[in-house]
Amino acid sequence: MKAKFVRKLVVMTACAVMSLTLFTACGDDADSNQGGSSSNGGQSGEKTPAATQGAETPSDGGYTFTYKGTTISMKEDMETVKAALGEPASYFESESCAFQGMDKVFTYGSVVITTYPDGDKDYVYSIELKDDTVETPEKICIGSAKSAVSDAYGAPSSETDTAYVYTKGSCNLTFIFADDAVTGITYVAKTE
Amino acid sequence: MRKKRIISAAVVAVLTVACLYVLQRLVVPKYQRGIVEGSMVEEYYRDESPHEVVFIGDCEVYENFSTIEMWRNYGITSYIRGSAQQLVWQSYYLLEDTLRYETPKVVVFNVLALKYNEPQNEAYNRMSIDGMKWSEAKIDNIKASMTKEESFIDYVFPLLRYHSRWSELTEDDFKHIFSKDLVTHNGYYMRVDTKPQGEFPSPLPLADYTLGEKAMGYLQKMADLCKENGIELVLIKAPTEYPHWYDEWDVQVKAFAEKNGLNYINYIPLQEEIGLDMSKDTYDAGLHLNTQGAEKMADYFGRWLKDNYDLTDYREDEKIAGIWKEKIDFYDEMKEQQFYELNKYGELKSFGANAIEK
Repeated sequence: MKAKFVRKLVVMTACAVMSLTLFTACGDDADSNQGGSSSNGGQSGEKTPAATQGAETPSDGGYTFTYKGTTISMKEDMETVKAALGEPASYFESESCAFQGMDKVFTYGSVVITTYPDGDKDYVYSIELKDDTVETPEKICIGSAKSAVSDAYGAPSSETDTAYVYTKGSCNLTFIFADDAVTGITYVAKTE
Repeated sequence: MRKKRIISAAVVAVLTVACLYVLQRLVVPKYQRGIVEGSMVEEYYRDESPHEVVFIGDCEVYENFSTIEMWRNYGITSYIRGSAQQLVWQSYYLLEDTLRYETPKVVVFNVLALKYNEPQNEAYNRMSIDGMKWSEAKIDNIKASMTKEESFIDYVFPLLRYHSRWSELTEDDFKHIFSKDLVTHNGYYMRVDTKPQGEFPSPLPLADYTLGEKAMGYLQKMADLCKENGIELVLIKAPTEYPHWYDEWDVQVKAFAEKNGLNYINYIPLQEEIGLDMSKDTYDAGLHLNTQGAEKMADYFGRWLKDNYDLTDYREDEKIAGIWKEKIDFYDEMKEQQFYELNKYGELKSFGANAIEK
């Protein structure tokens, strides 16, 4: 009688645990490895897209940059870019804090591309144009007049004393000015 | 009969809760090898000796200051409440949490995290928050830190978040289900290997160099909390040069320190004075110091602390010295083991991000 009662208790407990476990398993099944997949790790200096956002397709309507006939979008798989552009002139990598991924910087002539790791892949995080040998598809380069930026892109999405920021799709395109001339051009993946 | 049913239901409920608790303990990440940074926050509670100096902040504190060297050279009792990419509000709530247990004389905060003004990444949140004991500070920390994709309930019941780890459980998950090994030395993360600093990429120009309102707001709260508790808050920028610390940020932190009557020291221009040789004193090409560098930094900073604050030399206290003797032994033992691996294999095998969990 007693053994039967204990067996009954065990069966009931097992059923309860299994039901609750199955219930929890119905929820979000995101990457669970040590708390999630890797991201910037506080290493590259700027905010990077949350890993949970994953990589978006280049066709989200955001600003793109074209270099040597290859169009590059934010959050694009860097392997695709490398396949088109070849090996960079210089390369820098740093290990993400607490993760086994790498934050990478690829330099192609006057274009610097940084990436963030997500799983086994690296995705484009930013593109910086370093001098006037390269220009945006809208024909703006380092040294262009501030008014030329307004003419090409219209009113900025936001601005500071020294910069215009244009936001489209998953990209923030920033022009930095000094003395009414462009001194910096960056495409950066949106973080939110 | 009715009584028997009630007892049965109660027993089943208790057993169910117990089973779910064990399951939860099993599936949550243990952070014992490889990515050990997730163990740092909870290790603090195991340390029962008092600390006159508490560091809070990101990797620039837990990898750059050897707490053991500060003890050896000056008898300073310190603890680093650090975690990977610890955001400013997380540092603030860790400080609130620390004050539940002790009131240090000096709190040291590394300012690099001020560049972040919004929640960044779940994985880092988890490593900074999961290890905290439950308190109002932890609840507020979760609320301030969650990304859009996260939910509060997942922090309360980590089983909901980590249940899918069941298929990737390792030997460490079973071994450390109820107890963990120490992975730090009063919060200091040891790496004895060397990878010389190379050339860093030039910093990305920013549209706006103003440090965020939320970040600076929490820094103010931190300063106020320290003042209320009679604690000296010291702001530092660790001597490492990458990620880039913009001059424009430095100016803002200096102004904040002046306004609040705090000491702020940017150690980047002081590398030579500290005695750092970045071709030898870093393990990851200049991002963080190795143990040799962290000991130099600890010696330099420890001397400054002794000169500027009324800190006790606890080496004269038999009881405290006994506790620290054990810490020194653990430190020396790990150092010896790391050098052994380095000499034998040319790299660390059981430590660092490349160490595979068993």
